[in-house]
Amino acid sequence: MALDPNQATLPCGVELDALIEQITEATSPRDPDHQAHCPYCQTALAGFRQGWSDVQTLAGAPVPIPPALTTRIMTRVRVLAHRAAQNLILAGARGHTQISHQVIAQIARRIALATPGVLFASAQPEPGETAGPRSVTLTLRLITTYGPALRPLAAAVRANLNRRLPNVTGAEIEHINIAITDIAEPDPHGSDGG
Amino acid sequence: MVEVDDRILVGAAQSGDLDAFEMLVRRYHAPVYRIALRLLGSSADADDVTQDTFLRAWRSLARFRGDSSFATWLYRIATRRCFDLFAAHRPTQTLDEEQHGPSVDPASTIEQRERLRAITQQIQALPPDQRAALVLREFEGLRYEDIADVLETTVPAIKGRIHRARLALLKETTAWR
Repeated sequence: MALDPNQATLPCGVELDALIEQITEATSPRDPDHQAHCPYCQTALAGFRQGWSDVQTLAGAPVPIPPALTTRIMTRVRVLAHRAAQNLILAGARGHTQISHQVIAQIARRIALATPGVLFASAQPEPGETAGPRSVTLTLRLITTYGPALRPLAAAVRANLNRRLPNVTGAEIEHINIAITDIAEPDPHGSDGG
Repeated sequence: MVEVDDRILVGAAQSGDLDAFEMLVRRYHAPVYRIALRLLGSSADADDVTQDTFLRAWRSLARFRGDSSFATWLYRIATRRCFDLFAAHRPTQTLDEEQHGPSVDPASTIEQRERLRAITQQIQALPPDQRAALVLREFEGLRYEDIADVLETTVPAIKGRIHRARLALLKETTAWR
């Protein structure tokens, strides 16, 4: 049966747009009795159904993502971030050692995460107010498990940071401010959140 | 670790936490890449746009107020970048079937593969505004409200674009027998 898709209507008078809407929006036919017995409508519907099913197949097909795309993105972001970041300066007899606040943040985050009950940690170091170039004030945001009392948990995070961060980085910690932003159930599968 | 809500990761990233931003990149680089690939038709351009999108997002993160979701905000940056490339009169490329075409079931018939190729070409031939709306709806499954937010227009305008795109697609690619 020769049907012309460029015509607005089928020879029976039904608009092609209406049939396409019926398929793509899964709506009911405007005239079910006519449609059930009309060979033009049936032919056009079969064609559109096939076409729409092909669109769905295409949409469901996996798209290969270029290798190492996230690594390439993060390399560039880290360059930008480190350019803007502050540094900790450790003076020594044989020269200065400079440690970016980004590095302090990453280490502080890992120390906080090692405290039982902490599920997610984010750390923001800022230069301390009083002491010299080794001094930092830390602000931490935590997500914790439901269960442990929060004040002792925060105290444990502070104690771990005070004990380990100066050893690892040479930083002098002035203050540690902690915000517990959420509580959650631990993920049994150990997903990285991504 | 626990599945952390976007808003918490964004808050942490806004304070300069690169690990939190990296989690967001891992979460969203694939949809951003797919959208750019469907809009531009070239994997090299889509790769560039994906990198640009996240660099721009990092730079503008302080201005993100959470009026829309982080995903919507990212998709807006990505589609704007694609539209910039269209405006620069970049020739639209047809997806390279061998490398970047749909990896459909190998058992599919030659006839079906031909039909899928015809649809892919027809999508590339749509006007950019219709193509963007169609890709976000049919390929990424966004709600009309979110598509309107991404493309900075109204829901009725989006519905109109998607309707016209579907008509063009089905009328041009349906096998009439």
